[in-house]
Amino acid sequence: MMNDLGLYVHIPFCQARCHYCDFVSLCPRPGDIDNYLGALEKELLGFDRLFDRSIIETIYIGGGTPSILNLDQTGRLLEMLQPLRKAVTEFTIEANPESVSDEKVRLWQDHGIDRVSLGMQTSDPLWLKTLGRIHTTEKVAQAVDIIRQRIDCLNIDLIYGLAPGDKTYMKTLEEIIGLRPQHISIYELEVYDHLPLAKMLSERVDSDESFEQFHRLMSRLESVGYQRYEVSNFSLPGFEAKHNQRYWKRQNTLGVGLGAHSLIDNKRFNNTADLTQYLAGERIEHRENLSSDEALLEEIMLGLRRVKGMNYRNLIKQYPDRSDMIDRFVQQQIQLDRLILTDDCLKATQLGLDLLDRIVLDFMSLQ
Amino acid sequence: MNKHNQKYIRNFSIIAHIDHGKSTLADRMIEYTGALTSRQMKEQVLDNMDLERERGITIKLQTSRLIYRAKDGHDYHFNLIDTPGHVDFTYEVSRSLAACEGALLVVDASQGVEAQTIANVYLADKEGLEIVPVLNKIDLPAARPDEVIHEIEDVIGILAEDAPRISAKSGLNIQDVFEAIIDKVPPPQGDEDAPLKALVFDSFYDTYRGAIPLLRVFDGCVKKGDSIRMMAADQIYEVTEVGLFTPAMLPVEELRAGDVGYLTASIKEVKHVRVGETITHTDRPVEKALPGYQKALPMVFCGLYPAEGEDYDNIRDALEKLQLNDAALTFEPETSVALGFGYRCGFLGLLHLEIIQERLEREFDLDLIATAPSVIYEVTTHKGVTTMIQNPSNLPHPTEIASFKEPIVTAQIIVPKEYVGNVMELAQNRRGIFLEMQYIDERRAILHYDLPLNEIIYDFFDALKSKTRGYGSFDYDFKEYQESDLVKMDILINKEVIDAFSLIVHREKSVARGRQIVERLREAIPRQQFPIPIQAGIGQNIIARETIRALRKDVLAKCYGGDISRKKKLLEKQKEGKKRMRQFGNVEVPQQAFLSVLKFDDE
Repeated sequence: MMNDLGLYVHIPFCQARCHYCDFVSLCPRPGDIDNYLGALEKELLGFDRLFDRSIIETIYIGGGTPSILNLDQTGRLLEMLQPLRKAVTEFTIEANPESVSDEKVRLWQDHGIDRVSLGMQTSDPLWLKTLGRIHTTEKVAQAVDIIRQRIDCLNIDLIYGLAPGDKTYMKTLEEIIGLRPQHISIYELEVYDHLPLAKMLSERVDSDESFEQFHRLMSRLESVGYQRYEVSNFSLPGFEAKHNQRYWKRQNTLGVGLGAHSLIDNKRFNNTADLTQYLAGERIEHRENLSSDEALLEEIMLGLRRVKGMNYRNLIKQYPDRSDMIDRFVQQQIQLDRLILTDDCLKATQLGLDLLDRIVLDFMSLQ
Repeated sequence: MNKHNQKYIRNFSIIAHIDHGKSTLADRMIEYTGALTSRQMKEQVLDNMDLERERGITIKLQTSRLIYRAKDGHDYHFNLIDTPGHVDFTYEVSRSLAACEGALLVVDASQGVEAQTIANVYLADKEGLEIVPVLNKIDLPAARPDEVIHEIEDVIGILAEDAPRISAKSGLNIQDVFEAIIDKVPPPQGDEDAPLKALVFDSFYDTYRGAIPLLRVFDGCVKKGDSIRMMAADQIYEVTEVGLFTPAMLPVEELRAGDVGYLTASIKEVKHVRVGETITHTDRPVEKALPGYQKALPMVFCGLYPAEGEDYDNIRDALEKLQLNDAALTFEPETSVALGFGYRCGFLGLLHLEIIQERLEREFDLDLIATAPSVIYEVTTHKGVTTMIQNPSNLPHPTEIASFKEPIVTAQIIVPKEYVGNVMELAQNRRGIFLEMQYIDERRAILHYDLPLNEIIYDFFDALKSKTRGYGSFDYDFKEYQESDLVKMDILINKEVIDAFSLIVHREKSVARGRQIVERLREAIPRQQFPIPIQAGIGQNIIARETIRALRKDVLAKCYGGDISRKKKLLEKQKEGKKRMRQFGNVEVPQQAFLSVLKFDDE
């Protein structure tokens, strides 16, 4: 039987590490990237049988900075993926403005990439510096020009919640809107104590201000035709990201590359984040079979992130021995105005989307 | 020398303010008389509990017989009876003093008279003791013996001109102390042939021999095999051993009128030989017991809860063990909505409370949460029923209360005169009633106040220290229960009364206290989906209010490229925190919030 699958390919290299970044990323030493591509090829080969019985619907090359690869390396990577993209309906690559060139974009286009996700984060020069981003605002516009010559579908990221009293995020949004991407993600800055940024920011934005900032961004986005379809994601109608939706729907996704995570038939596994180990072929770091309760928690935690919510009847059908608990939970959250249930559709209200972590915690307490 | 010639016996105590050198003097006297070799002698032998040595105070009494060859050529038996140095133990001090004919008043020649010195002198005076002043630390550069002698004469009103001037530390002039005692302290004048009359002034518990009372024989004599009766406890025992303290226990043939020593009789419980008890013979009893026996009455209460639930039984075991040695400690099981299962414990005072708490933590390795201390109130209803109330939830309805009384203490506060204003302000704030003020010398004054005990158990001493730059000293004595304008204050979270927070306060203090509590709760309770009013109220009247604003956003923006383990971990952690919360209606109140209000050291 053929199953659908999403494929994530991680390119862990960056020219410079962003001060807020908590992903698996490193500055490549000479030879690293080529060695890495070799290891990646081996890893892909190991999934032969999975690929044989799967229809790969989406491919997402993320990082790190996939655009950091030079033309040869880009070509090599995309050749590897060539046999896997027969049925692909969305093929995304992440890029940073400073590493985009016409030749590279042409190579992307030639190999079927039809969506580019551009890390912009902020248009404010001071904030770009604070966040450790190495591009400039002009570079973003140039990069968009170059990409748009060949690939139309674009996502741009924005980060808000930079500092109390900060106003630059609205200016950034205006610039992004001016570029008219089909998809915009807005993320709140999360500062982990171990990151360089934690020392640089003296004051953090509280939840009230975060709320204000987010809702200001959302109103503006909606006023120009973008629709929120997930907690942090907006798009023009019809341009919702297919690959990312797989995560929220808990559809099978295979992650390859350093530190990549996979979910296949309720089994989660992930690769090591240690490059030396990975290059030596010791890839899998952790593997777990999710229990029914764990899977159910994930359904709630991820499914309610989608504005459309989830199918209630299917949920009950999937977890019949938990139906009482699910029902109690749903009633409780409806009382609190956080969820609504219409026909079979269970979804978060506007309030619920703002308090989603509370909803999940309440669910965990009942579980 | 005739061993039992009372002429050559002197029974005395040493009284002093903390740090004025009481224990050091005792050590030196023991050393001087050779009761112990210096190798045997631990520093300050009389303070034998670690805690006591650390705090420089005596909690449990020790006693020792010293043999001194006087200048007149006779050997004298000195019985040194130690006293606890703190007012919490006033009753114990008074019984120790009652066992003596005299007291050495040790005064630091540089510090002069302090509040505690005076409190102890009052007690000694009440027992009719001859007071022998001794100037200690005479070798310090800051010593001002002549001034201090004047202080003693002016403030205490006893002659101090020929007081021995000593250094207990170096042993300078220690002999003068012995001679002064011989001269001034009268020998005991008991009747050896009269029926046995002995006073228990302390006791301790020995795992093998049971409770062992320390006693002073006033009349008659007692020996092994005697059948004795504890008059107050109404218990009969057979004596298995009598002996002296040297300070090690030394069995002797008998204890006679004038002697101080111990007896063993396989007494199972310390409470059968409480301090103040009179021991007599069963076959030839005295008619009347010695005066002054009191059952120890706890004055200050607090809840002790295990920080970890599983310690509950261990706390009980530990309290039981401590109680073997400390008849004044009381405890009973208690349940708190906020803190779970614990014990409500009664103490003689705040120091007693601290000591017990510290011993529980140190000697029994327990992790405790102590609630704010409270006092016991006397409530009389219109029907004439009087009850002692320490838990506000046991209060009758306000309309049924005819009288509401609180314990009042008389306090002596000694301060350098530039701080008199500060101290008066402090005492006033604490509802103190000024009684009088005297100047001890050009620099210092002593203020006498009546203060509600409730106002000093919390942080009075700290406040006094900070308002006098550490120079103020303070002592108090229970006076009486007085009618007072007391009210029950409730704390409401989201309009619901939370029992655990209810408290009894003076009406004048209610607004300030109410504000403080609601403010603390506002800080300690996490924001929730809806605004939460936090109120303090008396009956229907709300006197303080804060609002916890609604939480508007609580959602992590990102789900990393399929890696949801991090998010799960974060939520797991929050869930653990949530587990420790108590649900009141819609509101979740974390343990920390309860602690911020109930806990003792959180000012």
